[in-house]
Amino acid sequence: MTRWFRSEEMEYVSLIVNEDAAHQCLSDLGKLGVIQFTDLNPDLTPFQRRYVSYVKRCDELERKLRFFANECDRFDLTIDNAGTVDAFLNAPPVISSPTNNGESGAQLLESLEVELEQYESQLKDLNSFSEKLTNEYNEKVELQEVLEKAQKFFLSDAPRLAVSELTTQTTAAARQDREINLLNDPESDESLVRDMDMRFSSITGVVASEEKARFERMIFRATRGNCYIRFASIDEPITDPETGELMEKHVFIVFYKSASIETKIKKICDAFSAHRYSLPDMDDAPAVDRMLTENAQELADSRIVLHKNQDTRFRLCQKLAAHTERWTWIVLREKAIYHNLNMFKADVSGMLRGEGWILSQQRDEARMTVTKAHANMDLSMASLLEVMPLPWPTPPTHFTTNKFTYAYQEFVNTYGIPRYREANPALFTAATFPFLFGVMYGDIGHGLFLFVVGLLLIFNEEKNDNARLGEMMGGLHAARYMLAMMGFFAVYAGFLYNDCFSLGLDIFGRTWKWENEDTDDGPDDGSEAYQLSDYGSDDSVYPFGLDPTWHVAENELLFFNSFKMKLSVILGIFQMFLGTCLKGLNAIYFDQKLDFYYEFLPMVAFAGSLFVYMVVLIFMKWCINWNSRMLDATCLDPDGEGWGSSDYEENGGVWVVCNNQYGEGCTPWGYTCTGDDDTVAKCSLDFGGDGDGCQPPNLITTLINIALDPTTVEEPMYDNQVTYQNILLLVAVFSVPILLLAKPYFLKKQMEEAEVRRSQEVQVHGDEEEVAHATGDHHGDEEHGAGEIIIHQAIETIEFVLGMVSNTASYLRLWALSLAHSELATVFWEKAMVETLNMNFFMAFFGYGIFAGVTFGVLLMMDVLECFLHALRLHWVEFQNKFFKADGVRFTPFSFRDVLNEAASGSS
Amino acid sequence: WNLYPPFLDFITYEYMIENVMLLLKGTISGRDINELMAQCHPLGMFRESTMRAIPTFESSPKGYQDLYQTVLVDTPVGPYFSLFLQDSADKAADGHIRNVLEEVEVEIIKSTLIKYWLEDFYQFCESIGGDTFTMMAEILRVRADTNAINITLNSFGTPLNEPSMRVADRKRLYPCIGYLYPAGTQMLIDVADEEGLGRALEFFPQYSGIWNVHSFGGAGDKSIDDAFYERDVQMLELAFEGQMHFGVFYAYVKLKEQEIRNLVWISECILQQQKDEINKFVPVFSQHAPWRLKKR
Repeated sequence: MTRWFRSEEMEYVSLIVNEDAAHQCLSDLGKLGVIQFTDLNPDLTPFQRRYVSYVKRCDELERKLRFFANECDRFDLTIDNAGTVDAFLNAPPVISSPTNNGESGAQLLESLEVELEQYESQLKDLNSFSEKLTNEYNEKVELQEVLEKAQKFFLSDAPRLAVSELTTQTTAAARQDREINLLNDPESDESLVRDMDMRFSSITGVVASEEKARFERMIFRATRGNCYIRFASIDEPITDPETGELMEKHVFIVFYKSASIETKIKKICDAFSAHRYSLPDMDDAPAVDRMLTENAQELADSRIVLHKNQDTRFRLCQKLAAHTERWTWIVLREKAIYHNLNMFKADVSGMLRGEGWILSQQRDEARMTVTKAHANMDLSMASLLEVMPLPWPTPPTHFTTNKFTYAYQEFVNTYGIPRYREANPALFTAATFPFLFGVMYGDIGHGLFLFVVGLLLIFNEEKNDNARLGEMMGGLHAARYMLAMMGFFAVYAGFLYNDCFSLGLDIFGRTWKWENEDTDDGPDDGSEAYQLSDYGSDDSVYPFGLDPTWHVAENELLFFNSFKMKLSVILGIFQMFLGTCLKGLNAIYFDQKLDFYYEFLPMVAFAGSLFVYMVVLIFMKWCINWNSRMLDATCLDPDGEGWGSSDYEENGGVWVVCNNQYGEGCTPWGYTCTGDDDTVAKCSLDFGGDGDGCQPPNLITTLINIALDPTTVEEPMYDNQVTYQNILLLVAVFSVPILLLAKPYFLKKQMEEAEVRRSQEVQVHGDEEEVAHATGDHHGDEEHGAGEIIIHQAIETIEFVLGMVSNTASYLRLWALSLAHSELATVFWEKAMVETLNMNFFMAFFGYGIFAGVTFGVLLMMDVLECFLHALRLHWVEFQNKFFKADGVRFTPFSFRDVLNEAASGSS
Repeated sequence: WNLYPPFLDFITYEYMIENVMLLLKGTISGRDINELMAQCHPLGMFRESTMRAIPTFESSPKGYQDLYQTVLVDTPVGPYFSLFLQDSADKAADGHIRNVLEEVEVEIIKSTLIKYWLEDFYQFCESIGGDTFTMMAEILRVRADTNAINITLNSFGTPLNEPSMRVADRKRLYPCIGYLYPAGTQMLIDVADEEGLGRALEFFPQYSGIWNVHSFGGAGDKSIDDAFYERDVQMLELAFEGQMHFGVFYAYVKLKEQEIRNLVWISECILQQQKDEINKFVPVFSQHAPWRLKKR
């Protein structure tokens, strides 16, 4: 409990170790993870440090490992899990062949380097070989395709086209004819064709499909249309040797006439990195066939080689994937060790000195670890771990958390790290946060969903702990206990409100009945409900939460609002008062008398006299039997109905015999009514004001009038309420100037006393000049200091006094959000479900879909987030500003576990 | 909403022009295309095939014609190139003979393209109107003037400064926007040496100050480029801090460019062991910028 309330005690230690044993010591300390080293060489750049070469080697190894990971990724191999971090840390450091522990540090790194180097060069060789093979293979494939397509083209399309092409070589005017010929009658003029045996040159090749259109356009432009181009797609995508991605490609063939066009086309082919393949004479069919079969043979061969290469690479990567993570962890660990060793300073011969913060409780353990490391290496020089005086005033803050408190501690840390050993809000947040969330979210049905989600997460705890979770899932996993608690309290508050998907549950049997409920028509608009048992009797109280009848009553909102508003104010004031008390506890703990007497006590007085009093009034109003009191001031006919009711007797009233002299009736205590009696006359309590005690007060007016109209209380609840309230008002009013002025005054006085003492001391030593110098200097400081103190205190005062008012109002969000939740649920239920249920089966089916979807999206997702945020705000602002300083420094120990976990979460 | 993508595109056109010119210039000096492509500004990248095709054309009027018709017509900077071709065709029709060196030729093409781009950009900003125009008009005008002055200054000692070329070629390079246009540019046409340029700029107070930095060179250890850069940075900082206009994007790109220039300067200084010179960069958004120190 104290460990959660105040942060762990810290000590600043200096550690002197033998240089030879330093690595072993640090690797053991890193396993322990209780010490945070300070940089003793802040003036050195990273490159000037002692162990920089080791760090560089680690970086190089990391690069290699990343390369392996990428290669494995290309084969869609997932890196094997190397087990849990803890298991890894406890196992002795082995790579693949066991090494002795003699000089494990440098040796480990070296053997790892050799091994990884070997694998890397292997992999690189294979990769470059694979690229070469792929290139060759691609060329063969493309050639094959080009040959096949060209053959087909020359056999089927070419003769037909040749006819039309050849008719047109003379004039530009003939172009038109060609077009017509091409379209209409390719067979015509055959004789003409035979005569003019004229050959076109052609270029064939392969171009990427996505570039096809642009390629065609550019060739057309460059040749000004004086060429003929044909494309045919290659069915099978071709692997890009560099990236390994599949690409669609097209075979093209271009016919042209002149040499200048040829150079242009060749240039364009180069620009589009389109491979050109020269074709044999297409008229020589046997040559073409020969070439085709030859190429097919070569293709088959190179395919086999390529597959073999791929197979080898795959197997190597498989092997690497199995080890990569463990290697990465080893490298990370070594790197962390050398990073920390870089913070050490060289001491006397062969010794290294480091300094840092250590958890007091673990100091002995750390010392033992260091000694043991030295003893194992048979080093005569003793190691040293000794406590040093604090070098700077604030040690880092560290809290021991468990899996339950972890989430809440992170919550508080997000706002600010607690100051060293100040009261930790997380301890209280762990209880109040889910509770306030529940107050806002309050609904049995929705809360149950949340609760089940939380329980599921807890149920899968172990599995999730070891699994790599995404960011979203990881967050949910970390907050699993919080979610379950939130769900639980939402259900609890739901029972209090008796609210399940906006409907009241009649679990214990309701205590109200509608007037004509039992008739066939049932209750209609305007029917009144009456209580089944006597007012105030045990049976008239619904055992837990609110009576479900309220959910169908016309004044449902009036009733719920009044209840929830009061509830939120009560909860808010309790929480803020707790915060204020924590301030007092802090003042006591840090022995700050001024803070306690002149800050904490006035604050308590102020908050108590106005705000706690408000809570008292609320409870008082709830507890008083107003039926009885109002009966007290009611004129009744002694013979009529209601005379002698048990209500009055219950509150200690005695029925007095009364003769009904004037025919107006009389009050139960015997006052004889005349026509125009006011409440004061009719009430027997005599508390003053208009109500005189027999009238339920309007609490808001009462509270406002404490300050605005202190002389009277319109509707008092107890005797002498005016006097008590005036006393409380005076207390509140006087606590403000004390809060504002007392602390600066005493601080100033303390400073003056210190000043006097100092100047006396100096005078005793008697150096005039020094005195003048010293006083002059300090005078300036002090003026500055006093002004600052007053301003600071003024801010503090204003913030507290105004804050109490505005923060109390701020807690009304508890009511507002709860109202919003229940109203939204009502709307969804009535509009989506009830309406469609009344139509027909089919519509109800749809209606349910809408209802479920909207309930999930709005209430189970958005409203959870909203209530979460508002609860968070209530804690960060309204609760924590009462006491929380939040200017601590986080303790970041040198711990392998942290390093590796961070790496694991970063990589996933 | 529909306006800002073209605005961003306009910013990249400048770099596209620069890349085209880099590729053309590179091939004249016979450098490897892969090496050149690595040097291209990433904001002005074309498709790889386009970039590879550009250097295949020879650098002659005929070659440029082909270059435009086959390659550049597809790119956003094509229109500027076609304007340039039109321009030179007109000139050829006028019967002027051009015997400019190839290297200078490329510079002329570049200046012409940039001029068309500036005018086009200016018109585009005008069509957007509002704060964007207010901000960008100022920036682009100053940019145009800077170009005009630099063109004149760099032409001294080149064929471009010959009296016949001045009117025929140099005049065409001056943008038709800016504070110098038209009266100033008219004067710049006749300028033959630095002295004349100084005289012409005396009528424009905003530039005479900058010119003085140049002519009394050595006094403030500042070159005219630095003086222009300083002015630009002040303007761009204003534009960047302004709201409700697209000029921020332009300012952002240009300020980043200045930062890169600064880094290059610093690393150059380190490389050449000139640590005293290291502070002579133009700081961006710095409290220690010379113009801020002066004010205090």
